[in-house]
Amino acid sequence: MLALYETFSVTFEGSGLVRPPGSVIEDSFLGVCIRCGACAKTCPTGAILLAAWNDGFREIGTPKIDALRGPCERIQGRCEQDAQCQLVCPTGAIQRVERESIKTGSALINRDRCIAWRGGVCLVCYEVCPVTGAISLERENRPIFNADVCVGCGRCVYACPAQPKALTLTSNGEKRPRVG
Amino acid sequence: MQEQNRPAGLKTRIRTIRWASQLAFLAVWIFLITGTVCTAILGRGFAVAEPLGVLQLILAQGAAFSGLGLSLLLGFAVFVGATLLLGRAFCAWSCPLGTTIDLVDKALQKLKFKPFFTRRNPGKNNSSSLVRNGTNKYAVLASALVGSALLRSPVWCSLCPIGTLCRGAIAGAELSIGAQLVTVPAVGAMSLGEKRFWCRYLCPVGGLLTIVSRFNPFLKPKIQHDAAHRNCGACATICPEGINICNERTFARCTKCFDCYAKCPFGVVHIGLS
Amino acid sequence: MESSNGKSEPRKRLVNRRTFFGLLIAAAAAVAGIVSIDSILSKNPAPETSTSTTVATPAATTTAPTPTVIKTDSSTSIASFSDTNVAQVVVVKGTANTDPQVLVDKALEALGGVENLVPAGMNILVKPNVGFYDKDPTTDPRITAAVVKALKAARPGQIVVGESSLRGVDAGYALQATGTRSLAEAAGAEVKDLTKDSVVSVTIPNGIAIKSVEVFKTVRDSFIVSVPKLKRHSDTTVTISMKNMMGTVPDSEKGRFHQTNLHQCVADLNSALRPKLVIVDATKAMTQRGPSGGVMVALNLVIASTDPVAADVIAAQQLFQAEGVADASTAVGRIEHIQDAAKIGVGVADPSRIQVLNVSVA
Repeated sequence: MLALYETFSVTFEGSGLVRPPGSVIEDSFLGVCIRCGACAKTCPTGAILLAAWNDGFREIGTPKIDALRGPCERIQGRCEQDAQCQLVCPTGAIQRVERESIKTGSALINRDRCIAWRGGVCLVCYEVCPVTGAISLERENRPIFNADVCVGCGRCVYACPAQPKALTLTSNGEKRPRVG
Repeated sequence: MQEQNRPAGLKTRIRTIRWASQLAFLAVWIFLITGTVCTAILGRGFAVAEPLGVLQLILAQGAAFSGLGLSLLLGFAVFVGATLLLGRAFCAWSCPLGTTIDLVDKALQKLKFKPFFTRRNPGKNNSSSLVRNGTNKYAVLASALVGSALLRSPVWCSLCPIGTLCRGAIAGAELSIGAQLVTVPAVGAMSLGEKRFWCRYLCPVGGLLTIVSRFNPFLKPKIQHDAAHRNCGACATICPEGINICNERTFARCTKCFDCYAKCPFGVVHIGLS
Repeated sequence: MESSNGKSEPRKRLVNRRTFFGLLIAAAAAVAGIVSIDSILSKNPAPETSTSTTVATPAATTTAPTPTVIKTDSSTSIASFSDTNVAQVVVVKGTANTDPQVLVDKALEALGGVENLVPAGMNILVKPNVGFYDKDPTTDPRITAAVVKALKAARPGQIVVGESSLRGVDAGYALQATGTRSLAEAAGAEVKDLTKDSVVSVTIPNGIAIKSVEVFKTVRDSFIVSVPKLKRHSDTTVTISMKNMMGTVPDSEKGRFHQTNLHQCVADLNSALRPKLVIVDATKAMTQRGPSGGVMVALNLVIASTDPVAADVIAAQQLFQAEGVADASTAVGRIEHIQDAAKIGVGVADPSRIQVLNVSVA
């Protein structure tokens, strides 16, 4: 386990884009990604979007996960065997990482918008979360988000029925491999 | 007019064959591959890797260059090898942006529109264009390469209109990049100035391929039947690169489109393997 | 390379080069301008207005007497439905090795035979619970296939096995990954990802929280057979035949239910789209937690009824008993959506008016 952690660089202050699972660390990523869009084309849920001008000039054309378009199914779903994005990446910007080590970021809850925290009946996030313990329930059946356990798949964000959404996917806590 | 020595059929058909190739590649690059023409894995170990993309990756990563991987390396070698054999043929026969530009040019031609920078009366010693074919392409190429090294990322690829076209079929890529709606129409609008304006004056990929084509010895247009040669300069008018065959030295920027061959009024152009 | 002759040429060309560069700069400025506008526009999406959420009314607590058990014979069936104030529920118990087809067949036989339950020539929608990719939280595909096969005897029109999963779960992939697609197709059903279906509106005359609902067209036009998995649920305590009906509405409606009042909306939905036949897959039930991540317990039961409320009551009792809950009947009486449904006439929740037929199968 320790060896696995050593090969990864953990971004604690992730305020950047949420990258596809297995993307190399951001500094290297910007130099290795050729902006071909193959990952965006292949993603079975359509979660990957290519970044635009407002994401930064160097970031234009690079892939990011937009949980509002779909969840990342690397942890559970169509990419359990292999991340489709990783299979088509021509330059190795997205590398093969075991499912157990994937962490693309974590979900963040806005309690002012959450139906449950505002007194209603909803636990859709808890229902769809594929990771035990990432979301736990307190006495009043309201969700508590544990960012350490969360892998950042974005399924809760996509499923949240609140309008506007009570959840966002951030890159906080992402674990990304080094190049090579 | 002297008798042509080659079958007339091929002359008229060569443009059609080229259209077929261009449209087929257009479908391939936009819809059938996963990726862009710059780098794409085609499956089973095959990949295509266009040299500007590769150079940008090398410069962007610098000392930390992680290597290309075998399939990409092979793809790169194939691309460069093809350019050494066929010159800048990619531009006229395969490039999706080139095809788009040709379509726009054809539409303008049908509308009887005369592009702005085309000289009204090109003579034997005049070029067909009012614009001097200078070093613009190489300036863009140099900026792309220097920019990649400085910003440590392949910045040209984000903006490249060829890549933009290839990414066109990705749902969500269209408006997110923004450039999609702007760069390709802007390049198309350049046809109002001159046919194949982008290819001739600005395209850094074309610039790089021209540099490589310097070492290509084949498929250079020549004048045969000197007696029939009228020195009219029509080839320069027809040529999308504005090459006057008599005055041309290296033919490095010749895209092997065979237009001069097909349209020479006296049929004296010959393109052979020598 | 071009060459030029004559004095007038250079001057003409100079002007044109300036024009050329001027045009180029103008074009670049236009490009930059349009792109900046686009980036500003895409940076701030229009904020959505939030709909107010009504707080759920506290559950009505009613003490529930134990249901009357009629028979424990393996071959007797209840043939008549003349007593409309009493609901009949069949509980078929097998072993771990019992063929699911036998469980389903026995249940339908005990309810009066499939020919009496389903009018001939009708299009049937078999609605299993395939809201997830995994097998634990979803209806056993063998049960779904067994239901399809049993229904064939009623000579129906078309049998469709349909589902629209939780938002964020792809129903097509779920139907395939759980094995439902292959087994149901082999049994002779058409398997449909309902999210690809067109959507129609249905009114709910007895609705309290909602007066109309959008559903998939296939659902509105079919005889509905609800084939749920017996599970706990974090919001509604249990999810059985009525909560299973959430899979018949599009994602936007699922969201509206949560924003409004989930318990009442489930009841209202079932009053408009009442499942006419319920076959609960309780071969393995999810206890302690649900609708996913709970503790699977093999109960080897199939619970069937033509009354979804009664079926849910009996099934919930079985679930609580398996968990060792002290007073299972009282606990069932606290399940809101079941009580809400009974109040608007979806079925019978009062255990004293539910007849249970226990059938044992070797």
